[in-house]
Amino acid sequence: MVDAGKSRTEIPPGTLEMLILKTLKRLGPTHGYGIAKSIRQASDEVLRVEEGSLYPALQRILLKGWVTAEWVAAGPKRRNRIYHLTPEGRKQLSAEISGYRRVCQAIERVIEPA
Amino acid sequence: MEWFSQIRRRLAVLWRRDRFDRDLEEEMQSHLELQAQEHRESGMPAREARAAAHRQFGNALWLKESSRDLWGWGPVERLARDLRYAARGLRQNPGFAAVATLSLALGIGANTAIFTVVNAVLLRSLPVRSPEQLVIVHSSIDGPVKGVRVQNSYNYTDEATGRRYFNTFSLAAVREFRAKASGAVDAFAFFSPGKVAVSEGSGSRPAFLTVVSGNFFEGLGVPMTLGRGLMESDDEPGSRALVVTSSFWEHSLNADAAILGKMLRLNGVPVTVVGVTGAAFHGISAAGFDGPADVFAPLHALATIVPDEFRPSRKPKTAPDSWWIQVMARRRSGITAEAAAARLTAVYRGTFADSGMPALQAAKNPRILLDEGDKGLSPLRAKIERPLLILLVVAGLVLLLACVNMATLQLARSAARQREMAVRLSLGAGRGRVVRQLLIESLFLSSLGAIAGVAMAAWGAPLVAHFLTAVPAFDAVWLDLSPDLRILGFTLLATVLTGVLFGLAPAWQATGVDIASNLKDNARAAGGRSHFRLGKVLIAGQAALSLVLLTGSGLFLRTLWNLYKVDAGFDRDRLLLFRLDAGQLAFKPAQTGPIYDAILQSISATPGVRSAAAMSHALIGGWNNSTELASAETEWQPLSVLLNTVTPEFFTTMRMPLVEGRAFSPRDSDATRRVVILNQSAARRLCGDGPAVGRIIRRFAGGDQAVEVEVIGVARDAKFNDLRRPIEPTVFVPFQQSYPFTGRVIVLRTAGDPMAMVGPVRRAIAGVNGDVAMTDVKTQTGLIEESLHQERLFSALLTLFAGFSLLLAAIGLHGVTAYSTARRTGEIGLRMALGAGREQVLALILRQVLRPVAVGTAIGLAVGYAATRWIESMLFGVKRLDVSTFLGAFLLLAAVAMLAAFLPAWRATKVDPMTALRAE
Repeated sequence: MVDAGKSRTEIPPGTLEMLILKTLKRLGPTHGYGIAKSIRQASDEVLRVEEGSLYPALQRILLKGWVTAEWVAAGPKRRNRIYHLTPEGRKQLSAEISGYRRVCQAIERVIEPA
Repeated sequence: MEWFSQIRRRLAVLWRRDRFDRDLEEEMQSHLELQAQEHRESGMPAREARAAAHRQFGNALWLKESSRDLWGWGPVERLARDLRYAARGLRQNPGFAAVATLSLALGIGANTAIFTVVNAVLLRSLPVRSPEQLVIVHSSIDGPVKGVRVQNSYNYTDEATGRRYFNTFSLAAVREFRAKASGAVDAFAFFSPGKVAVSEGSGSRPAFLTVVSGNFFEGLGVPMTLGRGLMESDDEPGSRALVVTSSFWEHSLNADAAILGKMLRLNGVPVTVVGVTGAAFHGISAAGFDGPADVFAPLHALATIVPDEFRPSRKPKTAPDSWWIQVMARRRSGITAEAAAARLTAVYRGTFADSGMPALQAAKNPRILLDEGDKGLSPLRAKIERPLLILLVVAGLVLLLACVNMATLQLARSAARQREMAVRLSLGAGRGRVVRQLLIESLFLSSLGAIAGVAMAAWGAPLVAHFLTAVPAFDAVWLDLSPDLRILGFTLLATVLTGVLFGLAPAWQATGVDIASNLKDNARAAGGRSHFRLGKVLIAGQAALSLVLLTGSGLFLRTLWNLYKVDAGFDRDRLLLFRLDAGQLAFKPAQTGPIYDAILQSISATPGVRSAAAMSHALIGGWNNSTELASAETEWQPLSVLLNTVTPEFFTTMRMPLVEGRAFSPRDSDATRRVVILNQSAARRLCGDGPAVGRIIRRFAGGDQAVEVEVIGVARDAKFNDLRRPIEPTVFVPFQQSYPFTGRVIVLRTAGDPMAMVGPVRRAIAGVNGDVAMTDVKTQTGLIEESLHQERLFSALLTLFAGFSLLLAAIGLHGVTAYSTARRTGEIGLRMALGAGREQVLALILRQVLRPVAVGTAIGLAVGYAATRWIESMLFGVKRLDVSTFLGAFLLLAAVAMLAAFLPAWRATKVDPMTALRAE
């Protein structure tokens, strides 16, 4: 259900790609809409990916070779573009996650109550 | 590697650009539908759901664009679009395109052609291993050394310091260099006796021979195509090894595949070919005494192939005071040039001390000097370096002129495109973007010009090289004019600079338009004034350049004219000159002497020949011999004079009158007393003001001994080497009293056209001896023309460029005047309606338009005043600040400018005031 009351939280730049990769790893191959929906649901509606940032991000990781895309038939006159995680993408994901965790811990230490 | 895969992916997208776009669209469409479906499932009515989805989707267009940018080859696609646009623009303006391409082609072509020659003469290294380690070895001595005999020498004396410079060494010195200085340098030696006769079976061809030390090929690192170079083991008495150059092998040996091990004869001596050099190697000198080379033999082979080489001086080539070998060396790694020079100097001094000759031991401060050897030797370089650089500067000026003219034309074009610019700027194109597109147009034009220009240069470079180097002083010249990276880089640089230079200012101007007023119908109000200002600056620039080129052209034309008018001292018309090539006989002078005499007699008897003679050096041929004379007037100190060895008929044939005494006769032979004839300058120096005939003076013929000679005649002063040099003291000696020369020039005075006599003379020669051939046939006037090749080249080029610049300046001025009067039609109409006369309006327009011409002329005069300093050494008979030349150039430019501006101005004043006012 769309709850118009909750405010939109900005996804920090650079982490969107990490989230997309993680989603693909968890869900397996999906299309763009499915990725956005999954992120929304997994974050309890806190993180809402704008289509205007999702597709450029997808294009970026396509260019870098972390994912590949192919068209899959989904009915008589429909087809979806499905994204797959590549081995480089997998490697990149763990690197991004550990990097992100390191930054988070550092931030925690800074804002800890004195 | 990461980026490499990225590039690959990008390329894949570039290929299927359309499909990529459609895919993206389809993907977003499908996303939209899924979003709408989700909204419907959560209860929204269908239409609202769709609208909400669209809203959430945002600016789909922007999305597509940013995706494209990410993948795109944005800059490349923009470039392609700009180029297409530029090409279309040119197609619509074929006249402009033609003028532009032609003038740019001339500018870029001239620069590339001249730079090709500069590259070949001044910049290219020898095609050997590590040429930067090579040095050329010279020596200097503070003062004269008595009794030294030099050969193949470019030695000279510095008048100010008295220091003498030599480029040749004795055999002993070379041996010591190799033995004692080997830690510092690897020294190799060479000597070029000149042309020899090469034969395989019957018949022979001339080849230029250089004899070299055993380590020459290895030390130099000569590239070889076949076989091997000469080695130390070849440099033994009785050696038979020979190496030929690739070009000799192709031209004279038919590129014989079985050349290795083949036996040839050099002057009758059997030799075996052991190697063929790489295609680019022509020896170490492009011209002069030592090049271009055809065959190489070891030093020891000199005695068998050219046995009589040193006879005239009767000094053996092993003598410590016979300096005939040249030396080049390769510095060992880690040794600087200074260290090498110091080591060699120490060894050199040792050779003087150990020579056992008091004259040498007394030599003051002998030193070794090292010059950079990476480009080999070349007397050619010294002679044409300055003219070449001057030509390059002139060509640069012409290119600048073409740029300035192009800028003017572009300016006029952009004035017509103001509307287009305004529209584009108002639609949101950044100024930088539009300027970039206009620059692409200019670069496109300059590229077209460059392509045409390079084609011109391919034809023009050999022409320039020929005229610069085909002076008689250089028998054969070989220049590598093939294109290389340096030339390509130069052309590219010139093209880009040109495009930017003439494109930038007009582009900046064109985009600085006031958008609002331009989009209204009254297009006249906008941008005009600043356009006009730039136009004026450009006109001034063209006027300045034109004046400089006109002045240069005038000075050179006058130089050429003066040279043509010089009194050579003899009658130059109807004289035929040629050499006798005795093939293999040439190196047995005892036999050739009588044969030559018989030939001369036979030729003299041929109908149509008034008289015939022989001489060692043709007049105005660029070469001379010299000797030393002494008399009481010189306190018996040797005076260096020019020497020409001649037959008795010389003076009558050349019509060089004798002001005193008599010419040589057959009675003056080897058995009687030695006689000489002096020219007037020599007679003055050696015999004072009194009569010279009958005086006994001394001649230093080699070594310390002086021979007594009697003066039997005085000839009128005449030019010897070339027309420019003032008359120098000269002495004439009869052939009969000299060692028979191998080189002999025959001269005949003919009754009619000299070239018509070639056939009969050839038959007369064949009648005496079938082995002797005529070579280097020329007329005396033809030889003189050849000696003026450089001056003719400069005059022709400068006149061509000056004419071109005048034409362009006139076109530019015409255009600017037409534009400015078109702009001011209303004002002109108003003035005339208010009573101004036609002449007054005309004067007003002309004054305004010609003012920049006046400014440009003043600048041009100032530049000319400063710049003529550099061409001063090339002028003859005219001072560099010759007032009449400057004045003439100024008047010509003024006349052309007046004419160019007058016509459109006149047309403007014919306008009907009422029509003009109504158009306002």
